[in-house]
Amino acid sequence: MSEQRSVADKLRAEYFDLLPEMRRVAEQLETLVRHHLLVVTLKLSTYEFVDVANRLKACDSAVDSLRRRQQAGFFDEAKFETYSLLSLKDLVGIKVMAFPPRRVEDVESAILPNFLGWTLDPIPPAGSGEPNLGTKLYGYCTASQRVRAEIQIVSMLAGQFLNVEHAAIYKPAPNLRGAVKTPELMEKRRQVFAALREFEEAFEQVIRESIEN
Amino acid sequence: MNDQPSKRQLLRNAGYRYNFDRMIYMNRHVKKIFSFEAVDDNSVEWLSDRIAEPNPGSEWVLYFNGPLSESVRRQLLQELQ
Repeated sequence: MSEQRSVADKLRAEYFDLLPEMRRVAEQLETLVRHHLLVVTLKLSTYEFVDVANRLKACDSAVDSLRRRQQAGFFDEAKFETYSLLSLKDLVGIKVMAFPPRRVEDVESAILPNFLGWTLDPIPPAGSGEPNLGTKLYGYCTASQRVRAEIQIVSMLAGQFLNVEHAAIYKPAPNLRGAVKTPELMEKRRQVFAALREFEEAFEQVIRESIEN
Repeated sequence: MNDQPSKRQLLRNAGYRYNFDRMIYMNRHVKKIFSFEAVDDNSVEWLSDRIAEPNPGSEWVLYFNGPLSESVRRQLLQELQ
């Protein structure tokens, strides 16, 4: 007689069932975002950048993400049927990175009016210890009414830091995502993002003064 | 300005260590556990009182925001052994 499947087993099976739909969402959303961004990207100066990338949450990362939301990070096997990866709001992600900072504002102006039905993630209040990781919004596109996607608009250096952090730490060991909630790390992380932002703003100021002269 | 010791410092001074995978503060000597949310959502006074409460038995005492299901409680205690 076979053993009963665990919640994680069930979620892994669900992931591969959803994967084709996730790919369609990523393709549609990236294309839409790039289309809406043309008003910005066609006017960029040589030193300015707007980068658009999509990512599908990996299977282990998706299961772990849902697990971390449970009490003490354990699935309750008695609620086996209630768990679904569809409750995650970022199975598919589109990250838009822009430099210099004023281009981040242009990107927001180009994107946000076209996603009015989507939910904006609130910016963490000052003093909360949470870094401001730019604008995030969540919703569905016509490619799927089940798989939710996230659009994140962030400055270039902050976005690249997130990429490096993910590749170096979380991709090899998804469970380390919980470590970032450790108060010491939250404060260090907030300082990193504040420093990157200051650097970008100073850089932009130098460029602007150079052009004006 | 807040001159009270931080909750984190209170826990550290009382011998609690943070387990980021479970998002709990735990002290194996006194067999007590606080969830991250419980610490976050309650006052310094609440935390200080709960830390001071003796644990007379040999069972773990768990401070979570809501009751833990039997399955989760079992998995957690099993992991702690």
